[in-house]
Amino acid sequence: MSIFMFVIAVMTIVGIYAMMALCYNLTNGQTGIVDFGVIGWVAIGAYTYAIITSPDPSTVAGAVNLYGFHLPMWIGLIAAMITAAFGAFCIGLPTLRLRGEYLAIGAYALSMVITSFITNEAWLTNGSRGFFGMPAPLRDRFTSVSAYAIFFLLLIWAFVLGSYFLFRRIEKSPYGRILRSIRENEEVSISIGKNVWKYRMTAYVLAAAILGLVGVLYAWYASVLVPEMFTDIVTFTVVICVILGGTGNFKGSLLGATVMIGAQELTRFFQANADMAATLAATRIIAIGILLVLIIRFKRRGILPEKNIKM
Amino acid sequence: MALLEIKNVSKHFGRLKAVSGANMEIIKGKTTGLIGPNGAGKTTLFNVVAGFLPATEGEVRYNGENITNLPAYRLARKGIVRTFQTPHGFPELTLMENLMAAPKNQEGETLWKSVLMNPAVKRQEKENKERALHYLEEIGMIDRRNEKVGNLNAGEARMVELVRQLMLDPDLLLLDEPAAGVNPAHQETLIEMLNNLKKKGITLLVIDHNLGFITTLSDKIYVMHQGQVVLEGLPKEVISNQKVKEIYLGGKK
Repeated sequence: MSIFMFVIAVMTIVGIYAMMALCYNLTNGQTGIVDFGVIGWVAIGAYTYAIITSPDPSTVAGAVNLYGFHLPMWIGLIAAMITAAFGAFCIGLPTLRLRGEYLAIGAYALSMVITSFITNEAWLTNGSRGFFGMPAPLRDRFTSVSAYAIFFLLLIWAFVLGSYFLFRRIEKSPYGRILRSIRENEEVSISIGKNVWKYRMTAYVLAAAILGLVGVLYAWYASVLVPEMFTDIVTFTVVICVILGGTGNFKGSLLGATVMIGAQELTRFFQANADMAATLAATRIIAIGILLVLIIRFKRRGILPEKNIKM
Repeated sequence: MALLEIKNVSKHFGRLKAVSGANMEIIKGKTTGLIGPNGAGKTTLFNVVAGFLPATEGEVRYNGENITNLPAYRLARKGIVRTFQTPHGFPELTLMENLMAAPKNQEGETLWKSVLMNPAVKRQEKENKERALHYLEEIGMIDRRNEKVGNLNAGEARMVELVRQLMLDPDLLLLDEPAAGVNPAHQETLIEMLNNLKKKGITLLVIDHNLGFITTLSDKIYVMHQGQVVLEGLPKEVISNQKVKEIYLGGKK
């Protein structure tokens, strides 16, 4: 594989993480919700999409799941967003009235339940075999693999930039200002007549809908869906991307994801013999931990700190 | 006419009776003072009236409507606006953002309208911006409009809190120790502003320790002690009352 194609592949996965980071930045950076359930909404989106668009499982050798509706991709994509948003609404009902830690734990627990659900409820998800051979959009229009890789990179980044501009617009709007006021002081926000719960809920549901969309992008990218793709390590990687880039700064989330995921993927170039390979993989995780500690100690507000809107 | 009626309101925390059986009538357009030593239950009563704490018993009526235990944000929209004893505001936001967050019925308050940013939203933003600038001018902080509220000292933060709450166009303003920590120069501005509010017909309910400040401002004063309203009267009656002197100077009960 040429270096160029490698960079294309890395930038694609960076885009997927960048989009998750943007969502986490909306809920956490702007609104102050601690949502450790990021991957849960991605998983719900991805599996909803898979079930809606897959062919009837009885035609697939070895499949044990019962449902596959073989509907067009765009229906799957919309369904993925709606299902994730609905899930967020349901979990938000009891938890968004509570203070931060409860939601953090509730959402984290939910994402664990989802991972466990997709592993065990094979009638719906095909269990640990998952979905495979899922087509990517417009793949048949391209004959060359590399041309499609470039197209797909652009497609992913179109979604990333779309979300970026949407969130930036929200940030600058009166609505965004109220989200930040809730982050800063809940009691004072109530005293100025704001229904804090409603604002948290709308931001949370919007973020979940876009995370559901990320699930679809992830399914396109990987072409397979297995439960191991949806573990909490993804959530915490996203959290680190946001902290690294600057909590509350959407540009920071793009940068944070690029630096973090770029570094993670590029270190795969290090040559290692078979004995050292496992050690090297572990070292990468240790390095991420050290990086996080260093940022929190020396650059608390991240590479690009949040900027106030001047008037 | 009574704008706000507090009827037999109690607030108990377990066995602690922070407020018991308080009765008050706040007359429309008048300024009412609420005094009493530390721990008398003034702020607790405020919290109950503004919906920040549920009443254990009793009734609060506003414009004749029973508003007991309505959510605080809805009371704020009805025109009952409070300030806090310790003003925090939104520390990481600028003075302007603090003020601009407050107005009620902002067009761009909902997610969809904020994304669309239609002309109505922009027009209203412009109006609110002008009002905010006007208030900052009044308290002499217009040059600091893009500074973070977290950088202000306590007295400055209190002034910003007052004007932020004024952005809501309150009918009844509950002020919890508005003069505490405000330096003498600002205190004059504060008194002038409060007098202007009175002239505009806004009803004020003010808690303060500073008897001089509150007696010049108030039309009527209530005195609370150990959770109960023990006295009401005109300012000059209250300050010359023997019982008040005993309460404040720690005399015998």
